[in-house]
This record gives sequence, structure tokens and C-alpha cells, in this order.
Amino acid sequence: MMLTKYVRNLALAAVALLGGCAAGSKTPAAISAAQLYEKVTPSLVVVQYTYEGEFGRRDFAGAGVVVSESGMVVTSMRLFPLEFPDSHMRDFRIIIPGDDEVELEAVLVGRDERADLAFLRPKQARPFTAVRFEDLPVSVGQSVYSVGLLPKDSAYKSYIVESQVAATLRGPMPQVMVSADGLATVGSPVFNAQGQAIGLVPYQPDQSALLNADKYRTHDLAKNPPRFYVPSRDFLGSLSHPPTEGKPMQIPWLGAPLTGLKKEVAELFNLKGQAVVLVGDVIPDTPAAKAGLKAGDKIVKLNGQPLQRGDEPEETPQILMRTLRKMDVGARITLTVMRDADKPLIELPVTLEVQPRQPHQAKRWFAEDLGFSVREVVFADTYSKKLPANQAGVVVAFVRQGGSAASARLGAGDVVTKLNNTQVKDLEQFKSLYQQFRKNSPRDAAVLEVIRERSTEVIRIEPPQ
Amino acid sequence: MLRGMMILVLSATALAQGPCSAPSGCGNGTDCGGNDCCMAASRPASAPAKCAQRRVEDSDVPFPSATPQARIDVCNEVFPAVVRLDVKQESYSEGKRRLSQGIGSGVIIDDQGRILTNFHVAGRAAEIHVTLFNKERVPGKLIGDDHWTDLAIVQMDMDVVRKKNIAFKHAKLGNSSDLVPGQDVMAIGTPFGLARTVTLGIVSNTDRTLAQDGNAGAKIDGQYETGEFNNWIQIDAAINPGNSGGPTVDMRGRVIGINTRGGGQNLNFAIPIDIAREVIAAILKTARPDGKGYVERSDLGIDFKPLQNFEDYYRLDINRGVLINNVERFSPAQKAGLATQDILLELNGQPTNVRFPEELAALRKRIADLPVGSEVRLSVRRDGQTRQLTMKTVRLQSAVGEERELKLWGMSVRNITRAYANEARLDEDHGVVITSVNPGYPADKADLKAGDAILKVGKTPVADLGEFMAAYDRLVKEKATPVVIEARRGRGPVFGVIKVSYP
Repeated sequence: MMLTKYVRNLALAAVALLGGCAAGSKTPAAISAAQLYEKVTPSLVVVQYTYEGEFGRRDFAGAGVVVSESGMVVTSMRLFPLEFPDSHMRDFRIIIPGDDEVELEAVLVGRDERADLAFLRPKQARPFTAVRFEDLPVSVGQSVYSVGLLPKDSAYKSYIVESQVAATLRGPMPQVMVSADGLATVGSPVFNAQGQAIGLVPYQPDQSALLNADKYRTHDLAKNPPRFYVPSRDFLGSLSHPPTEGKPMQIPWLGAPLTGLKKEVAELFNLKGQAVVLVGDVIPDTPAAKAGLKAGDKIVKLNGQPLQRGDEPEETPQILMRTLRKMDVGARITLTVMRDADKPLIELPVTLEVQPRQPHQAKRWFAEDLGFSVREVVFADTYSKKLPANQAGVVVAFVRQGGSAASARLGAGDVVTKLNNTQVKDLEQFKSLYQQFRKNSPRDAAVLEVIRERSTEVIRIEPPQ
Repeated sequence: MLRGMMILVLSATALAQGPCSAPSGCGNGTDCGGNDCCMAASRPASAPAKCAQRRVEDSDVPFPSATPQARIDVCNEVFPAVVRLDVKQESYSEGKRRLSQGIGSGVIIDDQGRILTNFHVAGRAAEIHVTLFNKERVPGKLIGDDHWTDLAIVQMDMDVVRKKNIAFKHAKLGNSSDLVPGQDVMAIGTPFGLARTVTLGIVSNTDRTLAQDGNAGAKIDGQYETGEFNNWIQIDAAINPGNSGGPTVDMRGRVIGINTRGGGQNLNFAIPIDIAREVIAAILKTARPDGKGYVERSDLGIDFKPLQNFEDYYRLDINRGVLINNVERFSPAQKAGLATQDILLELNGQPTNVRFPEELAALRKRIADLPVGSEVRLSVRRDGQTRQLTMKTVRLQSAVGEERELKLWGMSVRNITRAYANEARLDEDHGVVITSVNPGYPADKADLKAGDAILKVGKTPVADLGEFMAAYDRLVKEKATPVVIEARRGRGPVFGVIKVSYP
């Protein structure tokens, strides 16, 4: 589907080129860099919040773009990593920079990891100028602009960069590479020569999503700017269906890890020239299992269409997963698979279900005196550790450096099955068990039984004296 | 300057010529047996109490000290038994069997030309050259090794020795159980390939563990388990690279350990000779002309933890029992119902009390020393109740299985042992695993990777290295191409298509 849209746009562009004036109504006139800078600057804001949790306390600030007239702001999820549970973040602010800087109280609406975007809105409604992202094709060599905010040491001043498209890449996340002049800071919108918003600068190596970092200042940005952006088509769906406040994201899943298949192997199964994805494992009670998918099946089509190919074999399954994750929970799809090379292809209708809870969505609790926090057991824990799906216990989410738990060698990821010889059922019970124990014996050591990679360990944690 | 030095040497000699300065001096007369001797020459300040407790049957000084003369005497005595070993060790990387050149030390232990050294010096050796004290070079052959204790035995080629009429001496083995901290020792070897070198120090600790929390220290080459059944003698005499495998000797010139690890900061470790003596016996007993000698050990699949600080928690008497920290999958202990957090009180009626990590090796060794397949009775405490469990030991296995290279395909594979399956959390404890692939060769082009567990070669399922190699040899003979390899990576299947252009 994405592909067809892409092709249609290409066709439009071709018409525009050939048709000259006829298509002029569709393509706005070129805009000067100065005009673009003036036009976009009011839509650029600083997003700021206070993290307070197991890692300590700190203020984080990054670049945001206003995407609706009511003031919805999107920013890179790098600024709101999934390791930070919602409960550890507070005092959200949207700052409109300038000499008469305006600071607005804000709300974190949610995070959509599929588009790598976090959404915030001001508490009080107020008119904003929004950037409207469009799915427009680019061609190699054309000029692009990005407008962003400089780090705090430059008072979040807005700036503009011009560069040329160097290549378009098909990764698991499509990316456009630009020439050495680069792009504005992480979170900045990218425009074409007509001033249409065609993409966003995502987090990338050697860059920072923070505008208030000590180690990332205007100087660093000028020396080594970002050079990749994500075209709008990758996140438009997220902008039109942003997360719902107070509700976890409903992301669908198939329930089967997928891997790529090299050309030679595909040929062996008489699948020459086709993009193929191998089903690695089928997890019980998932849409894949219910649909009758089997480990070793070769997926060749989604909804009757050949799969989108990646630049490398392992990108093909990533692209398929990403496509599926962007669909709605409850969506019905058809996978065409080859099970045996000498038998006809099989069509399997699959109804996508919501993916299991992720570690960051699990409730957690901090045993502050001993310096570790635990969270509920989620699917990822039992699957990766080959434990029963209904494994009782809690999972160590964090161990503070230098704390009592760290000295006793408790490790993040350990599954706690017993506290002081009592079976641990779940987070609530662990919490009350621990609090009761502390109340009764404030100076006693806690003894935990934990399941680790290959072993069960008994760990004694002495409280600090 | 020269004059001063000479005076120093002279006066030292004068001192050393006293009645009981050196083993040779002490050994031949009854005039200096007992405490006086010890006090006079060796340990004027601190040793008397210790000395008084010891029997000096052969009129030897119990702890001869490192007087200048004694050092020279020991060197003269032991140097001729110390050899330099030039070893080509076998290893597999990038899909190939490789021979890597290394230099280490060894000590000749008998008149039949057997040399004791470290596993990390001569284990897996494909080619050994022995350089004797008199600079004669003799080929050597590995006759057995044991990575668990980091020891190996090399046999000098006696035909060559006889033909060339080469003379050699062997060292005398002492007893490491008699060592006391503070005693003078020397470490002898051929570090950096130099001629014999000696360093001087004292025994810092006679029973040192390198383990933390019951886990033995680093593995040899990152893969061979070691140190689970022995502790070390810690000395402050330097052990340098290349010194490995050489002897640690007391001032009587007896070998009390094998130089094994140099830790820097004057922390150096030797394998106690009492441990080595058992390993030597086992290797010599099992060595065959066509097969290396080995040490057979029993295993129950139990990981212990000292009970220190846990007594109150488990309501135990101080120093009673040992904590069961982990019970391995598919192990005899698991099948018999032993569980984590059980307290093992007795093994075959004998107490198993472990409060400190140093005590773990001895307990593990007690199990290891049982005949394979023997019945073991465990007395176990759980929830305040004591219960008896019976199980049979199985043969201890290493996670490192037998390895082979597949030249034409550019990969190396290894037999999957139960221990490896447990370590890698595989569902099956049989088959073969890829250990390395050679860049640019067919296996690499087929995207096969180290760690892939091979299930099928073509349409043939393979259960072990033998079956796998048979399938490989047949396919090579048939010049088959392409060949599909079905393997498991993590939880899912992977396919690799091997395309070979046969010569």
C-alpha cells in the first residue's frame, strides 16, 4: 500500500515535470530560504520535562514541532526513551523561545514507538502555527531545507540549513541521506524547495536529542550536523492517529519472529527473484499460531501483494514487521506462505491482535533502601528466558550502582521468585511482602531467589548501616 | 665498587657456610637437627613456634630459608630439570584449524623423560619441542592434559634422547600440604624464552581461591573451564609470561607447585603439586599410544554457595552445611529432586560444611573423585526437615566438545555436549555447533554463523560430530553443490546454501 502511494506520487511528479504550467496549480512556487525561515520559526518549540526516578533527577529539553493549530507538539522519542516509565516524568513544558520566552505547562499525550515520536500538548489551549507534513517524493540532487533550534547555549535560536538529497534508502525505517551541509538538530522538520514539510530529522549516531546537554552545544552541531531524515510517509499515520491520552498504544503483532532469506535459499525453494521472509518461531496463542502459521514457513505475499524488499535480506522481514505494526489491532490480513517447495502455496488469513505488554509498560516499584527496582513479568521476559508463560515473580528492572543490591550482585533482568523464602506472586504482593519485612525487621538482610540466564541464585542483600 | 661486591659475596658465603645454612649442609649430619638449627639459620624471629611442632625425621631444616647460598644450591639442583617448551597449539578460528606458536616452561618429573607443564602451555599441542638445560633440543609429544587443573604432561622422545646420548636430570616432587605462609620459595622457568630464570618470594597463602561467589575464575582461552577442583598457592615471586608450566620450588629444591598465573602486584599463583600428583597418575594410567591420557571425574550437576551469612536465615548451626545455589538441567541431582535453596548437610555420611569460597573446591573435588556411576547419598535440609536423596554420578563433561575443520566449506564445528547445551540453553543436548567461519568461504557466503546448531546437512539429520563428518566427507567425495544446511539460531531455523567450486 505504501508502495502504491509512493508510485502514485512519483507519477504526479512526472506529470508536473512534463506538464509544466498545467501542474503548476499542484506544485507551489519555490520559496526563498529567508521566507521559509520566517514561516517555520513560530512552529518550533522546546519541549522540556523533569525526570525523577531510579537514575536520579534531571531536566531534559529537546526540539519539538507544532503539528496542529491547538498546539500538539511532536518530538523524537529519544527525548522520552521507553526506559523511562510515564510515572518517572513530570513538569512537562512547551517553551516558545525568544527574548520574550513563553513557558507553557504541558501534558505528555503519549509515545508512538512505531513512528519514534512523542506527543505533547499545552494544558491551556492557545492558537499555534502548525507545520503540515506531506508525503512528497524527493529526487537525488534536489535541495532540501531544515529549520531547527540551536542548543541552550545559543538561547534556542532558530536556524536554517540547506543541503542536497544524496540518496534515498530503504531500511527497516526509510531514510534520506543528504549532502555534507547536513540538517538541523534532531527533531527538526525538513522542507523541499517549495517549503512543503517532507520529513523529520530523527535521532542518529553522533547526535543528541537534547538541547540542554553539557556535551552537545552549538559548536558541535555546526561541526557535525545530522545527515539523515525520515520522509513524512513513515510517520503520517502516527500524526493522523496520535496516541490517546492515558491509554497505552494499541500496537498489533503477529506473534512470530521473522528472519530474512538469502537469494540463494529462496531460489532453492523455487522462489527466485521474490522477496521472502522466513518464520522463525510461532509463539503459542498468538495470531500467527491461531492462523496455523508454522516455524519454517516462507512468507511470500501480504494481502496478495509481493513483499517489499529491503536493501539487504534482513531488512525485508523488518519492513514487513513495520508494515504490520502500523496496521490497526483487529486488522485482517492474508499471508501467502510456502511450506513445502513441491506443494502449492498456502493462504492464511490472520487477524492481528494487540501486542503483549512491553517492559516499559509494566508497573514497577523501587526498593530504595537496597537500591533496586522490580517490575511485573511481561511476555518478553518469559520468552527470552524460556520460562513458562505464566511465570510468577517480579523482574529486576534496575540496580543502582554502588547500592546494596549491586554489592550483592543482583542484576537487571533477574526474575525474583522468592523473597525471604516466600514465593513471590506478583508486583503488589512483592511490594507488600517487602514493606512488611522492613517494618518488622528494619536492619535484616533480604534474601532473594532469582532465576538468571542459566541458573537459579540465592542472593542476600544487606541493608545499608 | 667491584671490591665492595666481592666483600658482600664473600661475607654471604661465610654466613652460608655455617652449620645449617643450606639443605645440603643440613641433610648430611645429625649435629644440627631440630629447633636450634631452625632458629639459628632460618627464622630467628617468628618461626620457632611453628618449627617446634614439626617432625624433622630426615634431619632436614623444616623450612630452609633463602640464604644466598641456598638460592644458588636450589638453582643448581633444579635448573637442569627445567625445560623450555616451544609449542604449536591447535585452535580453531575463522573456520580453520590453526597452529599458534607459544613458548612456555616445564619441569622433568622422572627418568623416563616426562615433563609436567600447564594445559595453557601444552594442552591441545600438535607439535612440541623441548629445549633442555644443556641446550639440546628434543621433540616432545603431548601424552595427556587436564584443563580443569590447567596441567599437561609431555613425553620427551626417548629414542632421540638415547640416540644423541643426551643427559638430563629430573626434579623431585615435594608436598604442597606441608607449606606454610611465609616460607621462602622460588619460581623457575624460561620467561620470554630466555634461558632459565629464577625469581624469589614467599608463600603468601597456601590455599587461595580465585573464585568469586563460587564461580571459578576466568576460563582458559575463554572457553575451557578451570579451577573448580583446586585452590592455588599464592606466592609473591614473579611469574612472567613464559614462566608458566615451570616449577615453584621450596628452598630444599623440591617442586611444590607449577607456576600458572601471574597476577601482577606480586600476586602469583601456582597449582599445588599434591593436585598435580593425582593428575599425573590419572593421565599416565589412561594414556594410550593412540589416545591422550585424561582425568575422569564424577559430576552431579550441583552449584554450591558458601553458607556464610545465611546461617541465621536458614536457622542453622554455625558452619553446618552448604547452600545449593543451582541444580543443572538434566543432571542427576535434578532428577533426584535436589532444589535450589536446599542445604546439603552430608555427602555419603560425611559433613559438607562450607562457609568460605576457599572451601568449595575441596567439596567439588570430593564429588569429582568418586568413581563415575557410583551411588551418592545426600542428606539435605529443606523447610526445617532433613531428607535423604540418592543419585548416581555421571561423567563430568566440558562444554568444549571435540572440534573439526571443514576446509572446503570454510567452517569449524564442535560436538554439542550436555554442558554446552546447558550453557547455551539449547533444547537438545546433541548435534554439532558451528564455532567459526572463514570470511569469503562458502559457509560465510551462506551466512552461517558461529553458534548455529546444525540440524541437517542436505536431507540428512546429524546427531553428533561423527555423523556430521561422515555426511561432509560423502558430500565432498560426491562434489555435491549446492548443499543446504539447516540450523537453529536462537529459537528459529536458518538455512545456508553452501556453494563450493571443487578442485
